[in-house]
Amino acid sequence: MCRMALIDQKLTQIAPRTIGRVNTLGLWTLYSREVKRFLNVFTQTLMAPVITTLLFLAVFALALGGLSRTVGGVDYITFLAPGLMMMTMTQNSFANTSSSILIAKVQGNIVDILMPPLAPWEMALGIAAGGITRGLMVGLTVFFAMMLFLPVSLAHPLSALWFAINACMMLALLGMLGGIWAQKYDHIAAVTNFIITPLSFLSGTFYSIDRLPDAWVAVAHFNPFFYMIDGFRYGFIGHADGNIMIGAILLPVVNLILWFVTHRLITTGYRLKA
Amino acid sequence: MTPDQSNNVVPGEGVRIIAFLRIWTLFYRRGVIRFMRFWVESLLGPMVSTMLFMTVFTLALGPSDEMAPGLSALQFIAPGLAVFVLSQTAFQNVCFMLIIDKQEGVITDVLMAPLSPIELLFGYSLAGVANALLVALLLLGAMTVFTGPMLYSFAATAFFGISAALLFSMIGVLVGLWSDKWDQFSLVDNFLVLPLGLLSGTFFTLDRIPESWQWLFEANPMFWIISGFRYGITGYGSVEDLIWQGGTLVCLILVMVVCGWLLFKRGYKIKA
Repeated sequence: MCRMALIDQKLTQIAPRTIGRVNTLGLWTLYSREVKRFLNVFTQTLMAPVITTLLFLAVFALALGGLSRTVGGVDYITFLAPGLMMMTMTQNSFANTSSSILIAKVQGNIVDILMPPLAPWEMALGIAAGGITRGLMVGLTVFFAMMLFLPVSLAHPLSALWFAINACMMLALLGMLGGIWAQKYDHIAAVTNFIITPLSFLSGTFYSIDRLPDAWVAVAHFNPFFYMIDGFRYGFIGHADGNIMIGAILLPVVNLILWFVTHRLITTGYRLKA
Repeated sequence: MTPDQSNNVVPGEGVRIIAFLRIWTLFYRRGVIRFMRFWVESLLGPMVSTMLFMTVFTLALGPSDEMAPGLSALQFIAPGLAVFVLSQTAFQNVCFMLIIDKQEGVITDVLMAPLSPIELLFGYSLAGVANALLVALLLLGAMTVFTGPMLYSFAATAFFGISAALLFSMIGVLVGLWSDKWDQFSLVDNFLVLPLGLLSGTFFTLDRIPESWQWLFEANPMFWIISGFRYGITGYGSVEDLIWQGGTLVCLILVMVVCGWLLFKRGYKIKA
């Protein structure tokens, strides 16, 4: 009798783990996996972007700053620094999520993410948060590295933070879409080379948008990178080329749309499940 | 009585140390066809990013700036940028071929074939040279949109262009053989090749640099390559400097060829 009760008790102890509305443990595991993935190769994922950004800054400052050029009322190098920082952050957010999904697909270990009891939104959130984390960490590292050489000041820190998070989120989500769509490394290299890099180069990082011919100013306003970089730079130097309120509202709206698309794709298993 | 050594030659292998056909097979059938198949990344990718650079510089500089006497900023930058992309393409192409062959294990197919170490070295590196020269030619053509047609000395342009491609292909062989993983390749790419290229006088004249730092630039092979190539395209620079820079470059290439040959001979990281 006593023995039966003991067995009963044991049986209830080994019952399946109940998961509430949110699988917090699973979500945290996926997120920390994403973060450890890039920290494991931090020379490539943190150091290399920092060195490249500083080199770009040095080169452009030497090539263009020698003429004591000013843009938007500040030195050229002060104008350039936040834009370069933002470019690096966005590129890294994109690279993190796209490579994570694509490598998992190519190597076949995507099943390890699809099999655990994670809802589609949890999977999307975990991977996207990893990309955002990498973008922000790269940004912070570049920021501190630049402080060694430049008098970097923050005019509106909250504005800079808002644009940084939104921009990283947008590129992390785009990276997920790219990673889901791509079937080979070539595909994602093409997206990076022919879409992401041109958009970020032609965004007003290196020049004030009023340098453009009138027709092109209108085109530049359709480039989301323009709003990211303009708003982020406003956070540093307190001057914007366009209206930063448009960007501050537009970016979260676009993010919301991208989130629904990503969620939809993961739910249907597009190019993820056989 | 000693047996006649020449009778021991395997039929069909031939007695020459370097056989054109063998290099050609590795170079063309494997190397060139491979990068032409991936022309979107190997040709179009470098072109698009370089043209973006030119556009950005045009917009940031304004049309009237002069970088050196008689040369607009863009005319000054264009040749340097072209030869930098050429060097990087040569390096990356050879590294990619070697690392992929090693990782997928197909390097044994190449090692099993009757190829001598020197043939292996040139088979791999010349494919990189071909890819690099093709990119540079396309780029120089496309850049005339910004700069107008320019060519001062064909000989100097060709000499420095080919030297750059050879040097960086050989570096690519060394790094490709040494790398077990992509990490090692990107370490060299990010922390050696890119800094050498960016801090080389592609984008500015040396008088922009404090005098105490100028030696650092003058010791950079990329600086010699870019000065020479720019002289060939625009005629800017002094001929005396070019002679010793070109001479040193040739010596450097020879040292690299010997290193690469030794590594292939030893089978460094490719033979058990």
